[in-house]
Order: sequence, then structure tokens, then C-alpha cells
Amino acid sequence: MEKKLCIEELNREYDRYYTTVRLTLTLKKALDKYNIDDIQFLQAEYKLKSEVSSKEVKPDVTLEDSDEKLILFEIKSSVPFTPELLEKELLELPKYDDNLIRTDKRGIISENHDIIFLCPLKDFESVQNMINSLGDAFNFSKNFSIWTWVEMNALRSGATNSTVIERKIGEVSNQKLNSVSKHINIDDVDLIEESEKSVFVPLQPPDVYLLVRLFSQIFPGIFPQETKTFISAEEIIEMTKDYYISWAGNQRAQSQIRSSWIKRGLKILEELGLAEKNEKGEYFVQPWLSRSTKDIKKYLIQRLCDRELITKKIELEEKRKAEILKKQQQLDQFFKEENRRKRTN
Amino acid sequence: MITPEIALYLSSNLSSVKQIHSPTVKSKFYILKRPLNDIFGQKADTNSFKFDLNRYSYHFKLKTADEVNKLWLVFITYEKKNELVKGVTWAIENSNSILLVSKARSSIFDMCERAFNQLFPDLSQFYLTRLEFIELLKKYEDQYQHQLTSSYYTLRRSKSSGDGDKRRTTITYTTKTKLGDVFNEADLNNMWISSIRINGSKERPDGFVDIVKFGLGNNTKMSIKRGYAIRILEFFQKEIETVAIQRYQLLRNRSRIKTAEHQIKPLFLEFEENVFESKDRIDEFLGIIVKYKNSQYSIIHSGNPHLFMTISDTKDRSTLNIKSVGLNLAVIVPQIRTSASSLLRFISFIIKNYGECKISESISGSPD
Repeated sequence: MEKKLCIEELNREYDRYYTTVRLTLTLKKALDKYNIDDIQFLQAEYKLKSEVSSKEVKPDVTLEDSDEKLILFEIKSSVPFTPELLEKELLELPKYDDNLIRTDKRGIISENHDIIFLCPLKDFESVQNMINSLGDAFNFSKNFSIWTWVEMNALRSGATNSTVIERKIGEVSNQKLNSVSKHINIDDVDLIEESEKSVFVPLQPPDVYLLVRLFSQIFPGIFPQETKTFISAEEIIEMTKDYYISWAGNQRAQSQIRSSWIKRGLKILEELGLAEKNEKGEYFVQPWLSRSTKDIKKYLIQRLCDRELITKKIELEEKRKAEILKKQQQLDQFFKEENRRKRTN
Repeated sequence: MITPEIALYLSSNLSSVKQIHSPTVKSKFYILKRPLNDIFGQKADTNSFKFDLNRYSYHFKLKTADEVNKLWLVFITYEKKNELVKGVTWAIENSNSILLVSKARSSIFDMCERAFNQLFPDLSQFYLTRLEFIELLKKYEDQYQHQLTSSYYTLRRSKSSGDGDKRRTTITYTTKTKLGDVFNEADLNNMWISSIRINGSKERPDGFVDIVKFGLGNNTKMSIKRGYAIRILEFFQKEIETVAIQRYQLLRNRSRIKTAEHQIKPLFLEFEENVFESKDRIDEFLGIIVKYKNSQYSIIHSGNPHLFMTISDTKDRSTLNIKSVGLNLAVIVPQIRTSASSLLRFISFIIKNYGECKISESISGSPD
């Protein structure tokens, strides 16, 4: 049962990240398609700091207009089913309502940015109802709007599927974006190139997503031969940066895939017995499983869950041992004191 | 190429076989990346190699029957239940293709087919789509000023029932019918041609070509009876090779490692049916793909409305992504390393097992 829950959770984590990547690309594409020239895609996971609390905030997507005004998106692949969790999630949004310090522009302060909550169309009603019930507790001094997204089947043979984004409540200050956002339609076919070149957003992917992409898509190109060639994480970054381009804008990183992610992925693969490490810290991965194993994602999820359950078991065992030790020590202490007391008497 | 000499050789050999076994032969078409001599030269000095498959050990040997006309004798030996099984079949080499020909119902042919499959990616099986095949037959009629007819054909329709089972309707016709009318009838009734007998040429009307499972764009079993029906086979080899080369050219140099700035070079598959119109249809398609031999896969996303998968070919370590982008549209995106042979193998698998599709570099219809 525990493993089943773990598998379900990892699948959910995977889907959430995949949808975030997909919607980020869709928003980026919308700027080109609708010729919104005075707004540029600044970055996914752009770092900002609250002027009030000094806490760091990182909207999923940040756009910037020609006056350096920011448009912040909080993207949801799904919203919580239970009202309590939905309320909690919505009440986190006012963190964007503070004046925000831009960490990459020598402290420029964003005072009048737009805040956009982008959620699935199917969840819009519950979000709207919750906002209504929150009343004054859910209040913004800046422009706040709710947009929805939905994937649509093509209407006829030969046509392509699309993602439709619509502004439902509130407005944004840029008039063109305000007008366009009434109905944005991006064809799947227009996203093919982007979705092949951008498989990650700057937000660190969950292990399951990282491993599946590395093992099934990226590593077969990096480790194609059976001959053992050990490669460092840095070399992998260098080899992949032209295939998986860095996110546009003023992102300093040269590559879309972070060295720390690659290292983490390799370490987990090594723990799962799917990668080998040499004394220089370089790795060899054989991204081809045995004949009987066909579904790589399913296999990796099961292995990750096994690992998690074993780790949990070890932790529980260690906790139990520590408790026994503690009790033993308490007993020892008790007997020592008893003996001392008896001797004194 | 099936030269008159080869035709004579095959006719005499097949007619001698006829007395003992079935009079028909099977054939299979392969695209050849380099001459057979080269392939074997690299494998072994003796034009032979061994391979293990399904607990059996096979010994596979090629011997020239006619060097000028590039006709090969293919010997295969394997042990089954402590008994040594031996057999022979023929391979006709053209500049870019091999036609494997054997007696019908011969298990030896199946063994040879497996042996030839071991030579992937130098050799790749090739299937024509239904439309390509109709074009080919029309061309034959024009070239030889002879209207082809069929004296026997079977039409079939499969329909999924609610409980997941497939109900099949089969109708067999034995009246002499023009080929064009057979195809029209199949289209009108939304059926596919599961087998068809094409009558022989004007000069030798007693010869014929049987084509089986053709309806799914798959001419896996072409069988000839006797006489000059071999002209049809000869024509087939030449014309199929032309189509195969065109397709192969379309699939070449798509690895991202080879493209300028590592751009992607996608290919679109346009199916005749709306194979991605619902979650059930997507699952049906997925059910076929997971049966693709010598492969691994990862389902990046599967739901309504799209399916997105990574497929790894364990035969030559190629990787590709396939994604549904419309009701009847899918895009294949070759990854860092993807060979043309691997793309051909995968697309042939889809055509053979799922259905007709047009392969192109762009979508013909305009988006909604």
C-alpha cells in the first residue's frame, strides 16, 4: 500500500513539472505569436525579494514590459481538491503584492507589477468560489487577475491540438496583453521545437522527472556505446547545452540543465545500480535496461519508491535503535542512582 | 534485379518444388544499405554467421548461385528437439534492396527472415502503404497496357466492442473483378483487403500473385504461382525499391548530432483515421507501441488530448520522441542519435500494426 501511494505521488510530481514546463513554453510562444513587442519573456523562476519581509519569491514566469514593469505568473498544473488546502494555496499569493526588489538589477524595486494566477479551466469555479468566500482576506493593492488554461482537441482531421489560455477575472496594465489575454490559442505544432529544446525550467525538477529525462532521452545520446567511457557532470553539461538551450532573457546560466542536477541524477542512478563512478568522480551510464524491462519511467518510479521505502525503513530502524539506547541509558542511570541511594542509606 | 535468367532459375526451382510442397512462394523486401558482400565481409570471411535467438542457435550462410545476376542461396541450419533442421531459400540482390524468396509455408523462410533481421541496420524490412501499393499497380497496368484483375479477394473489417474485444467481419469474393473496383469496394465499405490474388500478365494469364495482409499497408506475404507472373514480382522489386529509396532519403540525416546548430528535424505521420480522437483511441495506439520489439520507452504524457513518448531502439541505440498533435496527426522527433534505419523500422512497425499513414516533413492541412 505504501509503495502504491509512493508510485502515485511520484507520477503526480512528474506530471506537475511537465505541465509547468509546457505552460511556460506556451506563454513564451504567445508573446511571439500575438506580436506583443513591448513585453519580453524575462525568465522562468526569476528571483525577487520582498522589500517588506526580505523573503525571496520566485514566480513561475516573469515578463517585463518596455518600462521595466514586471508581470508575474503563478502557474498551477492543478489546484488542491480540498478547500483547506486550496485556501492555503490562494493565501500564499499576497506574497507577490509587496514591493519586490529585483536581485539582478542592482536593487531596482518593482512597485506596480501585475500578478497573474494561471490555473486549469476545470478548477476555475472552485478557485472563484474560494476567493469570494475569503472576502477581504484576499486583497491586492496591485493588479491581480485570474487566467485559465486548457488543452483542446483539434476540431477536425488534419488540424492540430492546441492550448487555450483565457483571462477570466481582473486585468493587466499592458493594454495589448489585456486585449490578447481574452483568448490565447497556441497550436501544439508551434511548440514542437521549443518543447524538444526546453525540457526543464530553472526550478529544480523532482528526482523522478530528472531521472526519466536523463535516462531515456538525454543519456542515450551521451553514452551511446557499450564501451565504458566515463564522463564528468561538467562534460555532460557542455555536450548537452546546444541541444537543450538555456532559457532566454537575462539568465546568467549558460545551460538549461544545471550541473548540480546532473550530479544529483548521476548519484541516484549510481545508488540504483544504473550508473558507475570512477575514482575521478566521472560516471558511466548504460541507459539500456534488460530485455524484459520496457517501460523506463515505470521502472525508475518503482526503483525510486523502493529506495525511498528502504531509506524510511532504515530511518525508522535507526530511530528505534536510538530509542532503545535512550531507554537503556535511562535504565542504567536509574539503577546507578538506586545503587547510590542504597549505599548512602 | 529479377533478370530473365533469375526468373528462369526460380521458375524451374519452384516448379520442381511444386511437386512436393505448396506451389507458391513467400517473399520479403529489405532495403540494403551496402552490398551483401560488404556486410558479410565485415561479419566473417566465410559469408556466414551464427546467432542465438529464442533458445535456438542458428547458423546462417550465403552462397552465390548466380554472381552476375546477384542471386544468392541462403542456407540456414538450426537444432530443434535434438534434430538438425536445414533449409535453403533465395535472396535476389538489387543495388539497394534484397528480395527474399522461398517456398510458401516454409518455416525455413521464417528462420531466414529472423536471420536477415539480425543484419539490422544494414538491412531493414520495408512495407508499402496501401496508397503506394495502389499507385504501383496502376503503374504496372500503364506500363504493360494490361488491366489487372483479381479472381479472389477477401475484405475485412475490425470493430472494437465495448468490452475491449474486436469483432471481425470477413467477406470473400471469388468473381473476377478489376483491381480498381476491388479497392473502391473496400473503401466504400470501410474495409481492408486482407488477401488478394492478382491475375497474371496478358501473355500468361494462368500466373498470379497472391498478396496477403495487404489491407493494413502490409504486403508481408507475396506469393507467385508459376510462369510469367514473375514479371509482376520483378516489377514489384524495382518499383518498391524506388519508393523505399525515396522514403529512406526522407529519413536520413535527422539525428540532432548531425544537424546545423543541432536543430530538430521532425517528421509528421498523417493517419487515415482519427487515431488520437479520444483517450480510448490513444490507449489503443499506446497498446500497439509498447509491443514494438527491441525497444524501451518512457511515457512523458498520456491523456486527453495528447500522447508523448520517448522510444529507444535497443537494436542500434537510436532514440526518438513521438507525440500526437491532432486527431489523426503525430510528430516523430529524432533525438541526438537516431538512424534512418531505426526510423524506418519504427514507421514500418506502425504501418504494419496500426494503420496507414502518410509521412512528410510538414502538415498538409491548416490548423484550426
